[in-house]
Amino acid sequence: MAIGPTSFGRPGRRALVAAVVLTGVGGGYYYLSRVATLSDERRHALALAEDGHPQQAVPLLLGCLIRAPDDPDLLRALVKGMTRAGAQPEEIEPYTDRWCRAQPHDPEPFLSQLDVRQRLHRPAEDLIRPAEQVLAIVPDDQKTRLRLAGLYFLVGRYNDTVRECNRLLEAPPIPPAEIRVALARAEAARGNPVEAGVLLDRVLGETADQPDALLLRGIVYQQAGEYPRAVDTLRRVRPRNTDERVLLLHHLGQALTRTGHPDEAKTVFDQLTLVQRATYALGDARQRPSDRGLQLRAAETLLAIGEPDEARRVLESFLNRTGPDRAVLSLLAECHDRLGRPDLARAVRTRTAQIP
Amino acid sequence: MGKATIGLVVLVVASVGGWYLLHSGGPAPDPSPPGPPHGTVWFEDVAEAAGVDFRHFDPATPQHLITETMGSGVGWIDYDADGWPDLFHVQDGPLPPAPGDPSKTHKLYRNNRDGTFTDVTARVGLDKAGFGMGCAVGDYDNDGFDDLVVTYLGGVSLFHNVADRTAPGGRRFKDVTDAAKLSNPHWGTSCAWADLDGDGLLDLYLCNYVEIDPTNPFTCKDPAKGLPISCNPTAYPHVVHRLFRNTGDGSFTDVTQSSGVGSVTAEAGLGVVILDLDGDGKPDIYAVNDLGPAYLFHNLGGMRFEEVALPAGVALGPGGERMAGMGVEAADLDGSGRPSLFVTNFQRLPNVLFLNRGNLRFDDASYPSGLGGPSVDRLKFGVCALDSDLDGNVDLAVANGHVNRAARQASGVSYAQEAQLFLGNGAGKFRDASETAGADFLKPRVGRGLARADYDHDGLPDLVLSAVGEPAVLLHNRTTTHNGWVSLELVGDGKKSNRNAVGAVVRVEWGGKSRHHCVIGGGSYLSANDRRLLLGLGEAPKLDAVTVRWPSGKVQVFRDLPARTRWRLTEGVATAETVNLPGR
Repeated sequence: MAIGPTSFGRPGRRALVAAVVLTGVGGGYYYLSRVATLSDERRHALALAEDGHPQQAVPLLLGCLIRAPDDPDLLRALVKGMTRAGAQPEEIEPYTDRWCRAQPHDPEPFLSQLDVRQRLHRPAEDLIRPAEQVLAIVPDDQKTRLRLAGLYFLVGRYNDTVRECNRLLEAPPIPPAEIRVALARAEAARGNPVEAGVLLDRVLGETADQPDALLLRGIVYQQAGEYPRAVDTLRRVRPRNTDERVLLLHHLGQALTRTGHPDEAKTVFDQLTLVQRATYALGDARQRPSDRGLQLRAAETLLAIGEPDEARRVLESFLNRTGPDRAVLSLLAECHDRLGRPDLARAVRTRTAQIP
Repeated sequence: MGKATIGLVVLVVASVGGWYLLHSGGPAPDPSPPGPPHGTVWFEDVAEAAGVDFRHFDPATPQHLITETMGSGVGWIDYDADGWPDLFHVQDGPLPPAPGDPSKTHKLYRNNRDGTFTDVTARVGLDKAGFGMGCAVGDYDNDGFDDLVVTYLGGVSLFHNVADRTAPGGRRFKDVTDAAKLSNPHWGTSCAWADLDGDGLLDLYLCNYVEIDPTNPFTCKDPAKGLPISCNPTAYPHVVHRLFRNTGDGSFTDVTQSSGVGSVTAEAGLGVVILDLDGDGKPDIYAVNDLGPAYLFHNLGGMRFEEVALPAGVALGPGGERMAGMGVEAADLDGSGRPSLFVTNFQRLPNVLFLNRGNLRFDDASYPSGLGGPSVDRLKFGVCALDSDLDGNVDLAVANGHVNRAARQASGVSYAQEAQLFLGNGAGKFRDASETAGADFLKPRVGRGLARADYDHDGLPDLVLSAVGEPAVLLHNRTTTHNGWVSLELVGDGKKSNRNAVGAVVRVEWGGKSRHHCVIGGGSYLSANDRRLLLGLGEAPKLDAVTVRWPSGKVQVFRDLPARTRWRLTEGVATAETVNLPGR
């Protein structure tokens, strides 16, 4: 028996048409309502992110991205939301990378990629790529150009550093002094102390105590073999942080040695040794927070270089984790004394005396 | 089958074939590795083909202990004095040691003089297990045969090279550590032989790293990420490095304290070179420390030293940052006639080049030299100076590899890293030529030891590299060049100068150029180079003059030494002697 359309009678055909129509309408309705729902979810997730509710927005955005993995708006909102929610950079990185691929002609994802990679301490070469991409899209982004110049410097691409700095000098708004110092640093690094000196003298001619320029000027004098001038210049530097202090002491010590002042140089080198010992002791203490000996050593070395507040933090943090300890409390009392808080020092000593 | 059918089949086959060719990009590529373009420096790992089957034992544990990260060294030693460098690999071995397991002992490979080697470890008595670290090669008893010292986690061994007609090459090694009164119950690392008191005998300097208790592991975590990491060496106690004076009767005296070497703050030592840095005729000691200031022990004479690294400008890296000094090399890198110092360093810190300005004053030239920038993203260990293309300018090869197996997560770089080759211009400038130096300079490894020798006598310097948990890497130099070379083997008189002539300074002149070279003690990281000087001459047909200042102070001039020849220069013998060893 043949089975085919011809086997349907008129009522059967009507029923089939009706079923098809109903299925079509039903399917269409379902589809449209689903689209509307998804669209609502997307809107809702984006709105939450926009309104500053990253904790709620992030899971919704992640859900939406399963269905639309390359939606640039979702990726943007997610990266911003995760950043605001305090996510670790390694969690954010896959989405910044995806965002860059989804929006290759927009600088914003590449700036995010740059920031995330920087937070991840990625090699400078990995940071150079997004920075270059930003500048390919927005050539007048001077802030990124300055960053790129710094990155080139880090990997030893001094000619590129110089080129970028010169471009920056042609187009403000970044203060020219900052750029000239960066340019001088690159010139010094590629072995051109004379050029570096000219740039720095110009900066110092405008602002005699510009700290970056002054320190670098001293170093450049030393590089050029002008040791007495290096000593005079470096003596005027007031370091603003530990890195600058190390740099200053190192070069001042060298310059003093070469100008025939070994005793003074030795004093400077002793200071340098103490500062570095404290820096590493603090790092070791952080890597082994339960190691009592390392905490005590860190605090002692910090006290020795005049950082009683940092020493206090190390000791208090250890005490909070482990409970009272005579040697630790005794050193803590000394910190308070050095910080000009005899009342706190007394209280700590009273506490120490109560330890059985 | 009709003609039409056959025609159709042919058409289809032709179409498919044409499509395939179009889409596959042509015929299949040649599977053999590309050869070196003429004039391009080119190295190729031939360890397997050469019969070098050493594999480093990786002592990794989930705790990331500091002992797991250091690797072990490698050295060239012509133990049978046949003129062909033999190859010694130090083995880490498990803790506690596993005696009786031949895969976890040191290995000595005898040179078969045809580009291959034979494992003779057990037959020469070097099948020793232990947590080995570094080695140094030197003829401490001036008998004409090189002896071997090996450092361990927890000790040191001196292997005396003695005659044995039944052993390959007629020589074997006898452990004479106790009889020689050598003792170092610490974590010894790199060591170096040199005659430090001018008595014609090689003395021994030995770096100590950190003090650990293997039964009570010391673990650390990255404070930001909570990942287990290898602790900084600064977190551990340290002991001073050791200096042993050769008494001449087969024994040594520990002169660490009396010499002044022990009067410094103890730091975690990893690399050492010994050579005359200020031209006063006495060898000085430069030892680099991991995250501690390096030492420069100026030789005052009479086995007395003064530590002067800070005022000399070689204690710290650029900007005064502490170096994680791993390996160290010394050579005239800027044509000044004075040896510069080169130190390998941690990731995010550059390789460091100190140019020697004379009178124990050094200037940092890490970045301006071109050696700093390309190295920042690597963690650098072994280093060798060599003239890889025989152009007369010294180049530098560096073995790289991180210490943290989770380096990718912690620092954004890989644990295994590519080695690097920097070609020098003879005036203190270098360019990174790693990308064109053959596939083996592009292959990531956890590189540690590195040592140089022309093992096949083809006139080109080769390299051997040791890597954590990996097979040995024998980098055969396949550079095709018309440049000439000479090999100089210096032999001291064995009385006022040590036979190895460690400490000799050589000035060579050819075609209006001149260069200074030194026979140095130590160098690289945990490793030992072949002592012979292999010098590139460019297109010059001969060396016009070689002036040797022997360790005894005696100066001799040898003239007109033709290129492409191995020469032996013996103290007190007026003419240079050719060494007839067929090359490949």
